[in-house]
Amino acid sequence: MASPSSDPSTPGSGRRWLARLLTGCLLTTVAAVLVGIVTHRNTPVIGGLSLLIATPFIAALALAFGTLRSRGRLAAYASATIAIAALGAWLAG
Amino acid sequence: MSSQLLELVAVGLASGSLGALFGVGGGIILVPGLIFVADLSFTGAVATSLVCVVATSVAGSAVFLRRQVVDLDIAVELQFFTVVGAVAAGLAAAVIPTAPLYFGFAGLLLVTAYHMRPRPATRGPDRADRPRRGAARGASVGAGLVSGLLGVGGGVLNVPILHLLLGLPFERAVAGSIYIIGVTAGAAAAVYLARGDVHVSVAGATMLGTVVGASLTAAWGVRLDRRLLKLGFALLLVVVAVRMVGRGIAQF
Repeated sequence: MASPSSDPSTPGSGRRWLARLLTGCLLTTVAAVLVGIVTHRNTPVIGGLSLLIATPFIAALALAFGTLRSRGRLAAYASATIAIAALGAWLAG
Repeated sequence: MSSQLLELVAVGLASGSLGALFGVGGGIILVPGLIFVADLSFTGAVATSLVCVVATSVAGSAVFLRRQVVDLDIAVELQFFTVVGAVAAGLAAAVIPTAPLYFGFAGLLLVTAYHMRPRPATRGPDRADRPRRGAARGASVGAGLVSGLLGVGGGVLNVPILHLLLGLPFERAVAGSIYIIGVTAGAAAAVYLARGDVHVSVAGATMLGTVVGASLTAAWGVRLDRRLLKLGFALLLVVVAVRMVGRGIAQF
């Protein structure tokens, strides 16, 4: 049985779970950028920054399919937010 | 380590520290800093600043989520409207001449400086008794437009939207705003990144400074006279606004 703190579907633990997700992504980004600066290579920096930009949307996805899965209206808002952002990047690229 | 790298880290440190001290998005310091220190174009500075704003938001959101002060129901709804504005602005930025954007940014700096001015403690404006959702949604699109065009988080607009229009207590409004600006800046940054406007090495170095500055200031604070700090910061914003106007005039 999953412990309450690891279950993103309960409101309080869901927020803590989301906080851990954000912190993990940020630390990974910082590590990748540091590696890129030290080794004078752009690839790790690009990877790190892409992860950083994606992080709020990973959180939105986690919310849409985790904490908010029982609340259709907010899950729809979260999904639509991701779709609009992806459409914008696609149009620009 | 090259001197420019150190300068960029220093710009990021200043932005992260001042942002954490005064609750403003780092973009208001980063955009002029990147233009005057790294000699980036306005569009390049905006794109690079947006990446750093995401870092500030992610770091801040993690703290506020742990404290359980982010009203996710409202944040998830409003972030959709700010993202619509930010994406539209990011796409439009490719065709908008930069001179008016310099003036718009200078105006934003002066408004922020006005709000920073030291003043005696008074009772703030009353919160809405009844949430005004429609007005909040429309204003959120505006906040997204400002964010995507000028490279700021849009907290200057988000906090009043959450506090005055939706009636959230001030601390929850700040927490909600920090969460929303990450998605908003992320959407605009993705547009700029896809178009190749983000200076990767500049963004990496500045982002590191931002994260360190914001984290250290949030953890330990600064034992300085808050009133004096606010006055100094307001004066700095006015000076930068004048320089931005000068740069805007030079664009014609």
